[in-house]
Order: sequence, then structure tokens, then C-alpha cells
Amino acid sequence: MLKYVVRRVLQMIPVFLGVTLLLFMLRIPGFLPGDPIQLIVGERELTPALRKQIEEKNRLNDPLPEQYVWYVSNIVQGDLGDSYQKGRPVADILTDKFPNSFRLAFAAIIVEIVIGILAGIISAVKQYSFWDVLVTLSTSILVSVPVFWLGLLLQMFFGIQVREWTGGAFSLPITGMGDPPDLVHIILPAITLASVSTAYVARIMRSQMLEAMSQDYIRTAKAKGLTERVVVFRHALKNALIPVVTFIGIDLGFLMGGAILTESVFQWPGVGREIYLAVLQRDWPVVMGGVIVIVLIVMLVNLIVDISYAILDPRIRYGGAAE
Amino acid sequence: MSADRHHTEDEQDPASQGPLDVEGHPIRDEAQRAPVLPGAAEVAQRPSRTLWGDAFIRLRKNKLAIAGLVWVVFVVVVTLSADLWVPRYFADPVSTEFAGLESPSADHPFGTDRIGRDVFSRVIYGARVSLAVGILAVSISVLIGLIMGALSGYYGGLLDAFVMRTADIFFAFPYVLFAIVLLAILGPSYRNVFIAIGILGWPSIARVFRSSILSVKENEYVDAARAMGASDLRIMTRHILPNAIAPIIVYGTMSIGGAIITEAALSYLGMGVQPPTPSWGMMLSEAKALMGPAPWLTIYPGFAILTTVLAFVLMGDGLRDALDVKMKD
Repeated sequence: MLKYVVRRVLQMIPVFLGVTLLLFMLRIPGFLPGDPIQLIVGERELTPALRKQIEEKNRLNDPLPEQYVWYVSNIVQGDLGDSYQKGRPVADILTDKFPNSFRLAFAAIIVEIVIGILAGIISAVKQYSFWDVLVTLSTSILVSVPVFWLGLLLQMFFGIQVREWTGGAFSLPITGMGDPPDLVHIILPAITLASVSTAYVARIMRSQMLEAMSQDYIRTAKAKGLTERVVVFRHALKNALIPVVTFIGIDLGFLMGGAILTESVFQWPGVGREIYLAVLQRDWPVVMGGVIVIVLIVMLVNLIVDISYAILDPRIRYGGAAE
Repeated sequence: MSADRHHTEDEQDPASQGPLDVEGHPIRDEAQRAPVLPGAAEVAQRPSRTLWGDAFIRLRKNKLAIAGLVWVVFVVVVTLSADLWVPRYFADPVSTEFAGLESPSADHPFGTDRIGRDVFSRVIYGARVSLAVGILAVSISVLIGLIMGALSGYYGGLLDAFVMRTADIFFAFPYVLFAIVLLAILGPSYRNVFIAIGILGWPSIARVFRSSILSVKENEYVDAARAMGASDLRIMTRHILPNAIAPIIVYGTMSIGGAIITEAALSYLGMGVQPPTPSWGMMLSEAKALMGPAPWLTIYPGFAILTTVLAFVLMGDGLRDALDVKMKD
């Protein structure tokens, strides 16, 4: 087991270095729109002394390999540079925004787990019934809906239409997150963010469940006279859940990295929106720092998913050890 | 195929004496029978059931896939012929002569936007951007993906490790974020949108093609071709590609839908197609401020995206079922 974990962690290193190399290349002046020094200086007057000071601080005149080592060692130490626009350390800005993205991600994951898994089970257990057709059809449609449009529709319906119908008595908030953050504000963004993944969870759950139900051990369980409910929930569900849990785990990694579209539509103050605004303002350190942290989160969550998968399913670690 | 030819054929050679398929069952399908001339059956030249002929027959039975295909063809015809009829009966997509917001009416079936542009004709012309980006972006992905997949699957070793680790790097990035950063570098424009989406799509295609190659390249006909002195390029294009192309086609079809959504998302964020070119995503971003007074601005372009993407997804599903050997009926 330890061998598997070590091997899996070692595999992450080239990917991490590749990502940093890619982002490092973007630091080379001329790659990104706008003169980095001018962007740092902003409205101030650019004197030769100031230029020299900025160049030295950012090591812009060092040979590229030295710059890269300096860049990576800074990242490893948690120094992501300073924002051009705000002058604050990027790490601080991200620390402010990540909790909001996490909150939204967890709310979305709950929707995914509850609705996706339930819909998948119902659809598989009652195959070809009305419910199955409904689930199959609505998942096909859901994966084709642009998330931001779904967000707009929800805002239009729950924020505006419902308010009109109830004479202003009831409506759901369509922006922000409330201060302090409350549950009402998170409902619409969470549904929007969860929509596509919920459809995938339901689809995977359905096909896994159908496969599990056709196995010999299910027939044995039924032949022993166990009730349908025990067979479905004790025997079939346990095995069918593994791939679903994997999908949800990987998805959680991506959702925690902020959701640019959902956060923009609902003006949710998360990392995704922060990075998007930084792109518009050419605040490259925020963009680069945000991307690095997000990639690290995605890789870390994937690692945890893989390791727990190996604990649950011994075939994986033995298969891995034999390689 | 004409109906009366089918009729006479039925009279002349009953199914029991007609052409047989591989398992010896009579071929009842008219598509298979059509090329057989009356009396030709005796010449023992029964039509071979190719993978594609086979797949086509199964695809035709899939109503949802056909509905998707019909919708795609409809959208293509409508948007390509738009110049012929839209200006005559409806307003120009960029003309602002009807200044101001109007709800849907006979003159403007989908209403007009804030500066009086006709939403209906903008939705119709917007299809050009979506389809062009969808198809061009996926073509780029497939081209890069095939080359990378071939390099890694066929040659293996260090090259394989390098290509696959590069793919891992691409997979570690959240997709939309990566696209936005790429467009920030390239600069937002029509051309750069499909370049960006194209570049981002290759790793999936490469993985699919690589695994196909791995399963095909150990076959004897590949050894035979090599023994006859065929070059690597020839083996790959003539012997491996035709046997590994089915999953690429399925994946490519579905990816077109994904590329259309991504284009809309990027244009919605202002990182994609720039005004005045009408694009569905941009229309939605302009609609946002007028959600209350003018819901039609949000509803129609979004519906256009949904139906077009759904059509490609359904076609992809149908092709997957039709081409997947394991799912043969």
C-alpha cells in the first residue's frame, strides 16, 4: 500500500513541474499582453530608478533557468507574488476568496450526491418505467445546457417571476452571498453549479447499478429469499457506488477550484470570479497564482480519491504493485 | 432507393433465397438488398456488410440520433441560406433602425434587443459562429490528437511517457479557466476562440486513439504490412487508422457539442467572438441586464444553444451505439 502511495505521489511531480513551466513561460515579457513593468507601475510615473527596482525585485534580468528556479522555490514557499492592481500578496487575496468557493462547491456536491444518486438508483431499479425515461431524458438535456444559461433562467424564474406572482412576498436572492453568508443565497448558485455533474452522476449510477444487478451474486441473494430492498441496498448498491464516488471526488476537486461561469453569473465572491476579473484587468500574478493553487487542489483531491480507491478495491494496489 | 424496385425484388427473390449475411441469415434490410440486381444472387456476389454499412443500418433505427441529425442539418441549411431570405422578410442582424426594446411580434418573432436589433435574425446568424467554431475547433483537436496519439501509441517508450504526461498537465487544469487564460494570451477574437478550444481538446482524442492503436498494432496484418516493407506512416494511415477510427468519430461528434457550449461560455464572458458578429453567448451576456423587462433576450439564444448541442450529443450517442461492436444486436 505504501509503495502504491509513494509511486502515485512521485507521478505528480512531473505534472506539477510541467504546469509551473507553462506558467513560467507566461512571465517572460512579450508573452502576455501589456508591458509587465507598466502594469505594475500603473498610474505612477515610470522613472529609470523605479524600472530598475521592479526588474530587480522580479529578477527579470536573470538568465531564464535561474528565474525558473527562483519562481518555483517561491511557489513552494507559498509566495505567489503581488497583485499588480491591489498591491497585496496574491496568496492573501486567494485566502480571502477560497472559503467562498469551497462553500459553494460543498453545497453543489450535496445536490449532486442526493439528487444524482437517488435518480440513478430509481432509474436502474425501475428500468424502462416512466421514471427511468424521465431521468434518462432529463440527464441528456442537462448535459447540453450551458451552465450560465441555466443560472440566468433560475435567476429569471425564482428571482423575478416568482416575486411577481407572489406580489413581492417571496423570491430567492440572485446575487452575492449575504453577510454573514447564509443558506438562502447559496441555493441557486449551488443548483446551477451542480447541474451538469448531477446528470453525469445519475447516468453513471444508473449504468453501474444495472450492471451490478445482473451479477451472479445478486441472483444468489434473491434466490436466498432476501427482500428486494436488502438486495438493492446491501448487495448491489455497495459495488455500484465505487465509480460514482470516484467521479464525485474528482468533480469536487474541480468545483473547489472555483467555478468561473457560475460565480460570474451570480456575482459569487469566489476564486473563479476573482481570476476572471484579474484576466480582464491584466493582473497576471493573480491569474497565475490562482491557476497554480487550483491545479494543486485538483491534483491533491485526485490523489486522495486514488488512494481511497486503492484501499476500497485491493485489485488496484495489487495491479499497481505488479507493474 | 425507390419503392417499386424494392417491391419487384420482393417478388422475384423471396427472403429465403436472397443474399445471406455472415451467419447465414437472410438479409432483410432494404439498404443491403438494393445493390443486388435481380438474378445476381446466383453469381454468388453477395454484398459484404462493411462496418459502415452495418453501423448505418443500426443508426437508422435510433430515433433520437436521427432527430439529432435532422436538427443539425436543419440548422446548417437555415444559417447558410440566411442571406437569401432573412434580409427580405426580417431585419438585418446588425441594423438598429427599430431603436428600442420590442417584445416578440409578427415583424420580430423573437423581439428586439436594447438597441433595436432583431433577435430572430441574430439567433439565425449566430448559428454560423457556433457551428464554425464547433467544427473547426474539433478538427484541430482531432488533428493534434491523432498525431500525438499515434506518436505515443505506436512508438511507445519515452515518447509515450512524454505525450501522456503532457496530457496529464492539460487534464489538471479546469477547462474553462484554461481556455480563458489561453484567450488572454492570444487575445479574444473569432479565430482565437477555435484555436484555443482546439488546443484544449487534443488530450482526450490522443488518449482514445492511443488505446485504439495499442489494441490494434499487435495484429498480424500489421506485422504482414511491416514485413512487406511498408513505412510507419503507411502502416498507420492505411492499416491502423481505419481500424481505430470509430471511437474518434464518436468522440469527435460529441466534442462538437462541447465546443459549442465552450464558445458560448467564452463569448458570454467577453473573451470570445467580439461584436458586432452575432454570437449566442454574447447575446446572453447582453441580455443579463434586461432579464426582467425582456426575458425573450435570454430565452431564445439559450434555447438555440441547448437544441444544437443536444442534437450533437444525441448523434454522438447514436453513433456510439451503432459503431460499438459489443453492442451489436
